[in-house]
Amino acid sequence: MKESLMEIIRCPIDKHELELAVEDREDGEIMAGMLSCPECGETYPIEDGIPNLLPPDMRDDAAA
Amino acid sequence: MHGLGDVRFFDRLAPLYDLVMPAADQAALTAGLARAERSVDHLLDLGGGSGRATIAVEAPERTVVDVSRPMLRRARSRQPDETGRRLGRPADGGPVGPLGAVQGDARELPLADDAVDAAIVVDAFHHMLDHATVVAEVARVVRPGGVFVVREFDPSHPLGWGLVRAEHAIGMGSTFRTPDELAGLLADAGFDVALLDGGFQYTVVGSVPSVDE
Repeated sequence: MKESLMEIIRCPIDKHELELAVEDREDGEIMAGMLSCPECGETYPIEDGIPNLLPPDMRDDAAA
Repeated sequence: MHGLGDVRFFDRLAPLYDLVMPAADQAALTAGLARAERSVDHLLDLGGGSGRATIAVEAPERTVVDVSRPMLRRARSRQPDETGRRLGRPADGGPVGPLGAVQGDARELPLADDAVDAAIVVDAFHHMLDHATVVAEVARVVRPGGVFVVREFDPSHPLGWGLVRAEHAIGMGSTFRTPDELAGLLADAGFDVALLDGGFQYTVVGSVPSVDE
């Protein structure tokens, strides 16, 4: 994902702005990292350049 | 409790699903987006999967939100020179991709209020659960003067009836809306609604009133 996407993505639960921790960056795109919500404490991984912003209970279903 | 609905079908179908967007769909989407009273700088393709429809629309920023991660990987890997991508090329021949891809659910969009200029849902609304909630979320994230364009199949059309039967026969939980039902859902969420075309496939456009009106 491009870092500019941070301007519009939000926590799916409370729509609060997210904090970004970058683990891997390629060609200006964030390929791996972690998004966290300072409001509810939930974390959302970025893998393969795609942030997983599913609500946590759905994320668990999707990973099953 | 959230359900994944029909998502697993698309997880499996992702490699096969990447068909060229029919020209009729592109024309309908373009006509719908032309109703925006603002320039469409950022387009949201909700349930856009592999980005099949997303690339049919020209916009500086295009983001696909979908539940299926395999479909989103397809969206991110799109390149302008792949076979069958001509429809997605901007008029100046510039590169198309990659598209922005966000894994998320339409009922709890991980997006800010007034985040995008336009949203589209193409051949996907019937797979979504809690339609009224989805429409309310779109109304929240589309800016004033922007539009929400939905391209859907009419279950009351003779061909639509066959599609409903076919999708249910393979176990999909699809809920198809007639044009009037969908228009009503959008109107309830505060959109100014227009039906652009009818038939087996139809297009409903919801406009978010401009602030200065």
